[in-house]
Amino acid sequence: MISVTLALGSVSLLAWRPFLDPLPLHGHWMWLLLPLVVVIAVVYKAIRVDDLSRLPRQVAIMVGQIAVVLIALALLLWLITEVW
Amino acid sequence: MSDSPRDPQPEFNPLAALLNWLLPGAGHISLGQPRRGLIIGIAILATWCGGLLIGGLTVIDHLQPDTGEANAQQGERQRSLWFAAQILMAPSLAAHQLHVHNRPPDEPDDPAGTARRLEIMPSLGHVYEQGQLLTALAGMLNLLAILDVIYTDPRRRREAPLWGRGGAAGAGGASGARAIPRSATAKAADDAPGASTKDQPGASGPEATGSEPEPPQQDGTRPPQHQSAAQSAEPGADTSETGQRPDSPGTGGSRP
Repeated sequence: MISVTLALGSVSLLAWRPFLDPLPLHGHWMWLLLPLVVVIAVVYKAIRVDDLSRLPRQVAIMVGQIAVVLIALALLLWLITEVW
Repeated sequence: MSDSPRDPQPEFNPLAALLNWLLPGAGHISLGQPRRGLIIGIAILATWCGGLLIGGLTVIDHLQPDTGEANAQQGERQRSLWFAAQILMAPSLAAHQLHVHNRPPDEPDDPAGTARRLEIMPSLGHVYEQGQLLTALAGMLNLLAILDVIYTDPRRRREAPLWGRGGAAGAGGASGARAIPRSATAKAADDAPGASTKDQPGASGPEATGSEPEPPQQDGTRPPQHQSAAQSAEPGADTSETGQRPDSPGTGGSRP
């Protein structure tokens, strides 16, 4: 039985069964985008680079690129929907 | 493009592809790329497990969730396209079978069946979508890994084999293949007799080439890589390993 209280939303995981019960993250699902981007960058660069010693730097670059593009797209969509 | 004798055919590795489908990263390990396989496997499995932890087992289902809305197919739930991405890795099939096996039966009066089943709480909304997205993403990333191992270039062995020094054994062909030179300087050094790839920009060190650092020559002369660097006299030559700059008109100075 896991009893953990998350600081973000005071979510209690008392009696939570892993893999059988969903996590109560309805208000915090946006935070999952960042590890998702990191994982995509890690797997893609791990496949593409020949020298694994360059992997951390390449992953950081790709994460930054994806983040910048996502923010730019979000701003553009916000402008389209709210301003124009 | 004609196939010359010096251009080997890409190797077809169906076993490595199957291993990658069964367990992400296992195909790369079988081809002698253990570090790459571990990185890929851990990242993909972490994504997949994260999706299941967030959404529960119900996120892996060949049918869309029952939202109670009437549809054109007499109330039957439509097939989920996400499932096609989720089954790109074998663990999703096992999770799906576990979920289907524990699905509530059509007949409610089945005490024996109810006692055997696990009560899997369904997830809805953003939680369900995130779990479905992460598991499908793990499958699609695994597809990338499968495509990476199914056809390999025997000249591009990127890591030394985990077991032994290689040779003719193994699916990867010659284990002593060097990384492809990426610059004219590296190519000139590579063409020199007895030159090693230690100074090549594309090389990742001794582990990539599977060779030890070059020992000093028996007759006391400098290693050929230093002679070739001096003889080529290219201004842009990489001298970080030797600490010496080759003589060239533009560099200035002269040796004593």
